[in-house]
Amino acid sequence: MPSVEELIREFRERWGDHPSAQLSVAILERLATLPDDQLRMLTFISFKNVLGYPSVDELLIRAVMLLANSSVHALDAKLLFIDDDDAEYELDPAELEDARKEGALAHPVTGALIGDYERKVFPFFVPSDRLIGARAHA
Amino acid sequence: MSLENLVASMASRMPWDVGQTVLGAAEVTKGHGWDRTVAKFKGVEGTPAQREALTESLRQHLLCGEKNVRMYEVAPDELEKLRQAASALKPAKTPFSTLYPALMMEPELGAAFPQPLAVAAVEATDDGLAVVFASGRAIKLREPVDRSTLPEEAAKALAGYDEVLGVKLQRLEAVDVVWIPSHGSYVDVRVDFPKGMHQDNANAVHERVTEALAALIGFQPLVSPVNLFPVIDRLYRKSKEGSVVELAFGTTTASLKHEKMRRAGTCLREEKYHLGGKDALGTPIEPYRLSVQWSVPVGPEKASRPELSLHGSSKLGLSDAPVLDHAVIRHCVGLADFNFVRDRIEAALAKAEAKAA
Repeated sequence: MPSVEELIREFRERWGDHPSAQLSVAILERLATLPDDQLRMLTFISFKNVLGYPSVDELLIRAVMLLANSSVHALDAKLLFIDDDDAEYELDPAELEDARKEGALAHPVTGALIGDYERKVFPFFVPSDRLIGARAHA
Repeated sequence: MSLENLVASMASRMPWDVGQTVLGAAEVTKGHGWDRTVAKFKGVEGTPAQREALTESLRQHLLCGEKNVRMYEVAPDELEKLRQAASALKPAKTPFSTLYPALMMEPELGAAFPQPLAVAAVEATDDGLAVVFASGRAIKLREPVDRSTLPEEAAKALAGYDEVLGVKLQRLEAVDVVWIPSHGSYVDVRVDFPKGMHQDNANAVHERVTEALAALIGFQPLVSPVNLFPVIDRLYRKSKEGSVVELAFGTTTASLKHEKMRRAGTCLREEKYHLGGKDALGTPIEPYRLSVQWSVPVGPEKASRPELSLHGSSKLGLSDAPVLDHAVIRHCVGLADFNFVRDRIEAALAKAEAKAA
């Protein structure tokens, strides 16, 4: 299991030229210093706040997505569905996949189909097993 | 009873997450959401094994699924008298008892509406005896309207609104249960409490159930529900007792806090912000509203997440003798996980009583 430093090195080698690379590295460095129990739900706003970045812009979104979707795989993307009563449910990725296939999301509790579900589903992130291992390495 | 009837009955009362667990255990392949699952099994008889599994799951859900619960402490001799009287009860001849455990649906339910409480079944299990009352009930639901399904003109007329809500009067067969345990001294009244039903309505149903029981057996053993308010503090302070997913409390700094955990398996008792706030105070917090979730195994590699809610108000928190007469227990797959939660309440009650003594 690589250390956080090795993870950052790996990231720089592969994505160093990407316009968001610097931000991605800053996120990795910051996440390395925070306790586990404060990394259970990281939203784009969380990343903005922990970095002291001025706003959630395309650059920041790309920086986060690189960490989640590239081979570095430092973050796991999760999904939160918030219904009209403000009740929150974490969605399994397969549920969203089904929703896209069927054109509607099955409400986790009522089982009713929700056509305009896309605007009620929000991403958040948690450290991947790889990043957790790297943090433990230190 | 066909698979069609069973699945439609399940859809009318089971949360979708519970329904998926039940269908999976019976090896019945679900559709996408309840409506499509019901449509999928229209006219389908199913195999005997499937029908048997779903009938048992539905029967258990009628006894313990999505319930608003009051507990009554009954003296041993009175309890025995109640047990004898209840076991002699016979279901009334109504469409409810004829269909039981399947439920009446629209349009038949509408034609028979309103229906008074009637005994649909008397169920004896290893743990106790259940007097099952069925009736027609209407619940006012406020549901968001999906504008993409409206005609163009209507959608245009409503374009200025962020959200469009429709009010729907939903008629359903409600199943309310008097549960007389084989052991212990607490008798439950378990009232159906679907999402969207107001506590005031549940209170009225509780009164109707105890009155109906007394009218049938000729005496009233269920006089005053047990005060569950002390259970809130007791469960909150027991660190290994499930996961606290919701807590509201007052502080001596003249504030009210309402905290919730957002992810399954996480617990407020250990949450940093919660602990930090408590540590900063020189006085204990004063909880008045609590929800606890447990993970209870319900089969090989399957666990349910039953949730107990004890929802007092800030007014109760200010009272010198706070009384909370009901609990809400949701997301039970069957009697095993419901009884697990009920045992936790009983244990907390016993400790609260010991402390008071």
